[in-house]
Amino acid sequence: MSSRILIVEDERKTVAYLQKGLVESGFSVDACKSGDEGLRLAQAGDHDLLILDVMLPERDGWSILTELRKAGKQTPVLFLTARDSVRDRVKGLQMGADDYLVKPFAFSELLARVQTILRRTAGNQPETFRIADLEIDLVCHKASRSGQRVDLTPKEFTFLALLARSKGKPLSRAFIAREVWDVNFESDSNVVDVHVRRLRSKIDDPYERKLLHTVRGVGYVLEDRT
Amino acid sequence: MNENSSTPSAASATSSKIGPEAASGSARLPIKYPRWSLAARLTAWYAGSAFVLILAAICFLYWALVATLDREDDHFLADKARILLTIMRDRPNDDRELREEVERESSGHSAGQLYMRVLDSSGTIIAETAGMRVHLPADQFPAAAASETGRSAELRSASGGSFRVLAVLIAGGSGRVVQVAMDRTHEEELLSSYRWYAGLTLTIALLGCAVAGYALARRGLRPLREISQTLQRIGSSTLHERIDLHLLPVELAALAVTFNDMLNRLEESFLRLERFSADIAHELRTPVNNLRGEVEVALGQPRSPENYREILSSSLEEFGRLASLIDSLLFLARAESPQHQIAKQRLELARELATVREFYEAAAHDAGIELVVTAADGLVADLDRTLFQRAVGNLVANALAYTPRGGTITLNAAREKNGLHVEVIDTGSGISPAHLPHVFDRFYRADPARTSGGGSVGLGLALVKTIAALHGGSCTIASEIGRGTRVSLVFPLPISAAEA
Repeated sequence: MSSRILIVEDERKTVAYLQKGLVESGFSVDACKSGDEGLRLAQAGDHDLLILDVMLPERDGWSILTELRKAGKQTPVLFLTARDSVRDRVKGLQMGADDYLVKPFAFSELLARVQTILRRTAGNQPETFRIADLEIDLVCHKASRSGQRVDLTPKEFTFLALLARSKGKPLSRAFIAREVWDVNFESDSNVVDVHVRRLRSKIDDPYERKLLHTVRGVGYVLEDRT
Repeated sequence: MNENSSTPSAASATSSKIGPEAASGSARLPIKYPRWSLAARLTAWYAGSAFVLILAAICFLYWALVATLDREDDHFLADKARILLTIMRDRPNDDRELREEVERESSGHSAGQLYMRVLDSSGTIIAETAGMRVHLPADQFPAAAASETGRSAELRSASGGSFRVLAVLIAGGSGRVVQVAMDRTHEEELLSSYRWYAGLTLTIALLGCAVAGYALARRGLRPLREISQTLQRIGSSTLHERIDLHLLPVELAALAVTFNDMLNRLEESFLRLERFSADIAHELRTPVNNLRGEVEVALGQPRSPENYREILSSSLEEFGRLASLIDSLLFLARAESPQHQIAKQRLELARELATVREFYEAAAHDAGIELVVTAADGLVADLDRTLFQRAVGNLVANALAYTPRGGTITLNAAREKNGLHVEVIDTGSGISPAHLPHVFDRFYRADPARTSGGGSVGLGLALVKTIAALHGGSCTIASEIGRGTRVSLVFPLPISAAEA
């Protein structure tokens, strides 16, 4: 069953591409444009995630979150905002938001965060991933290809597991840097590319079938394209 | 190597403070004095003090004149009394001689009429100047003194005349009293005209002082007016003008130098701002132009899906660059605002540097550069983690770009007296002294030919400097061509001294 997401956002073009992108990524998506309607829909429905713009007509995103929590709903919330100040960020997170994205953001970034939140709330995680002949065991921290053990450093394994968990959705360089190396800034350099090259040399280069692909302008994805 | 290190940070630290301070300074200027002109104030003080001095001098002279006249009158009256006393002592019973003497003495005084009278012990008049009874009855005189050398007294007669009077008791037990008086009307007139002239002098002096004072004040303040005229003339298009120091008096030269220095800083930051906006426009125009052209051409004719995909991917890359450029510019702009807050947390420096090293290690390895951390364990600082990573990351990325194969990049942290030093030291190509003072400027590139092709737009070091400043710290750079570069970030020591 696909996860249900409610988007409350008043900017038409933003709603359009978010809805399109999320639906194509396999989510079922509801959308509305005003704060009051958003609150009503969020209280009535059983969404797995709310994506709220902070600045909304009638009722702002923070108010929706407050009302929802008062009513006892614990639906995870991801805020979108054009305002990037530490105070706003801290306020959002203190009020119980699960994450916070500042416009302009990459869609891949949003997707990755949505998946992270849903995984966090979903609880039971698969213990192994299989992409073509690549097998990743999250419990034993082992990866193998065509039955052969692939020797990875801890960071490389974290990276591979991150790619595997995203289930064929491309991940941005910034997201990868943050999740794997705990580095929180947008680096101009091709530092992540070098790490990808290293990982490739271990899991892809010796094999005919390539699994780790570059998505131009977006990032990297682990999938079987044959 | 360290000679250069202090200049860029010092210059930039001062220049970056111009805006907000200047604004707040002019906003609350307390006005306590009535808004008199300086010339009026100086004139008032000058004229006032001159008036007081002249007044004091005139009063003293007047007092001296009055005292001299009184003393002379005293002597005169005492002399006259002594004559009568002598006659009475030598010829005690010759009252006729006494009357004649009184008659003789009373006439022939042009300066003021002299009056004389002799009384016996019962108050009966023995001898008297004619007409004295009318002006000066005997009972109006003060009590007789034992000696003629005492001070005479003032007396105003019933008829309005002013007199100087003296009464002396004759020694020898006869009980006779000599009364002498002189008319002072003449003296009074003299004093009154003296007072009139004094008043006239004072008035003229006051006017003269005011006029002269005003002229002097105007003259003295002329350099100040010239400064103000120069300053009024200076606008955004004439920022190169300066106050001429040549003819200024010493007191104002210091002020003018201060103004000129301020103008230098203003001009510098104005030029930098101008260059900055031009750079922003340029940096934004190029990618937007690329995007527009690319999409226009793409829509010009039908294409294969692969072709569209290629074009969209290329656009996406350009969008990404635009977004991160806007992000950096917004950060820099916002960091200027004094209200900007950062989320500090206690960080262990060695661990943070190791994180950065781990991230860049692969890239360094590929470039044949050794990346090492030499920070001591246990050093902590209160920093915004994201910003700290960004600063150190930018420095490492820079060092990687300018260090040849076989080089070393060292990330060091040390505790010094003036704060925690975080250093990125490379053995790279170095920066020439001509460029060194400018490397922290926004969009400054040592090599103008290097365009934004590599994704770097020359904001890296500006961001580093801003991040250091946001933490209340500073950033210095030292470099030697062919030997390498050392960038030092100095952060304040953490507040608690637990690990001191």
